[in-house]
Amino acid sequence: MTDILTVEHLMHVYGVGTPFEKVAVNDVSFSIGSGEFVGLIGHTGSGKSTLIQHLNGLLKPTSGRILIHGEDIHATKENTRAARFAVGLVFQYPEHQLFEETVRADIAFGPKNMGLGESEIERRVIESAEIVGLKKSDLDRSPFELSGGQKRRTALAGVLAMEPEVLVLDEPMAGLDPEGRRAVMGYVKEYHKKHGTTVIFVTHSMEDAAQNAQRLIVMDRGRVLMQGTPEQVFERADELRASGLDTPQVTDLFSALRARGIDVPQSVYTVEQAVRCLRELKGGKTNA
Amino acid sequence: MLKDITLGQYFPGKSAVHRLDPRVKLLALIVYIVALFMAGGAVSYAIATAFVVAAIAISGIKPKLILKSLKAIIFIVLFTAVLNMLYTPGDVLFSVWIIRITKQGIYNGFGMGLRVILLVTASALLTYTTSPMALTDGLESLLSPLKKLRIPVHEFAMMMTIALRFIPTLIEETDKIMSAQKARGADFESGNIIKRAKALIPVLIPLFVSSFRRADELATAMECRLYHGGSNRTRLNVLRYGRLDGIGALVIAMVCAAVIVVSKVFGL
Repeated sequence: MTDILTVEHLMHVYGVGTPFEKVAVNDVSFSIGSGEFVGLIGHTGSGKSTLIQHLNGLLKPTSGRILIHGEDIHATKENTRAARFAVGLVFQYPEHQLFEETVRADIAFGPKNMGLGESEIERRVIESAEIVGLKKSDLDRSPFELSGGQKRRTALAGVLAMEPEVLVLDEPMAGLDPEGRRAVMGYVKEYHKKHGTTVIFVTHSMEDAAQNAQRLIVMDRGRVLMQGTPEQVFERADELRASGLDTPQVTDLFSALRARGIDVPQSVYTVEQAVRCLRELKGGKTNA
Repeated sequence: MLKDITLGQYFPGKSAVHRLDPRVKLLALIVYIVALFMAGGAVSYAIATAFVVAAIAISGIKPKLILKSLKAIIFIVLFTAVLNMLYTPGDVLFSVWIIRITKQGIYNGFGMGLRVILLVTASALLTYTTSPMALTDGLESLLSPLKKLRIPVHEFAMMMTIALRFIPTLIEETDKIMSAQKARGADFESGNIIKRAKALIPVLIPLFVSSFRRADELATAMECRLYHGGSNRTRLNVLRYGRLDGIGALVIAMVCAAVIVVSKVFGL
């Protein structure tokens, strides 16, 4: 697996020289492999949102570098512009950025800015609308008359239509009901499978992180606290709790079981694993 | 980028300038501006400048921030100074083509430039050291005699409070929407004026939509807490003049009187 995105000693300071000076990101380094599905977790104000705005060059690092395919995105103006399109960023509550008269035009905004031909734009609009489950009849409606969930999906489609190599999502499921959450994650996963896109998603929900990510990066007060597979991360439950985070409920349950002297593994983080473990445990007992 | 705007911002602090009653500060600013425009000679300008410099020193606001707020008006200052320099009749020092530079002109130009700078610095100091809430409370209190003329002073003050309160929120929102559109490849930095103005549409429409939403939510929240206009409302923090305010008012009155007397009576 080759690295598509590398962050080297990234540091970002807000409001330099004012009384509000604040270090938001402090000496952060990591790399993301091509096609990976990475979860970024951390408490509120841990620097996640600042960090991801560096990935497509929206924010300029105070110091440190961002490399895409080994090239510094701030080396030339062309590199920065290329980074905008190579890394698709979906902001928190992206439905607030809708502005066009029709859903179709809004989804086409990104591809149009890329300078694509009309037929290519049309193909991408239809394809991405389909992925997020928008009906053909919805395409000619005004985005402002859609429901909240439909607006969110329109905004998501607007970024998917740019077909970025890396898709970065800032809490894509915030404020949605459980069904909406599952649906949105489903669209992202389907897109990931179909295009082999690298995905980085920010989340507060440990369940979502555990279920979906192949790898987790945990931020704490502007630094990377730990990174690794969900198994490795949730094993260090105490450290997570100390930094104001949680572990998935299943992991909590298994910790409680262990505390009562029942021999179950520490690193259970999805319901499926839990079921398997309990089955084994039960099977073992009846055999004895 | 937009976050760098400091004009009208409030920097919390505990200095004497911060603690001064907002009414005193507002009146002081008005009197000071009047005095500034009555100043004529070098000595009176020096007193006026020394006063503002002293006030900045006491307030503990970094001089860098004051300079930053002056950067925005540098054009106006130069424009005023140059115009005054060119159009003042008097003893001609030298002339090129139709341009005649006079001794009085140079003097006037400098004077006007300094006046504008001091005016903006003093106003900036007021907003830097007074919270928006205190500012509107002070304004409402000062304007309350107008209530007798059936002018809805409280409503005006409330509107101003809300407007001031939402400036940072709107700036933040604008920043966010601009970032989101930039992430979709919008370009705000290149092209001529018309192209740039057009590029702002994707920012302005969402901004309007969210402003209306916010206004709606705020109205609902205020009604839920039984807000109903100005009559018979009492305040949590009632403004009261203290000893500091007396001293402050005295100092300011003396300085302004000195400026006026020095320039009008002694002509310095």
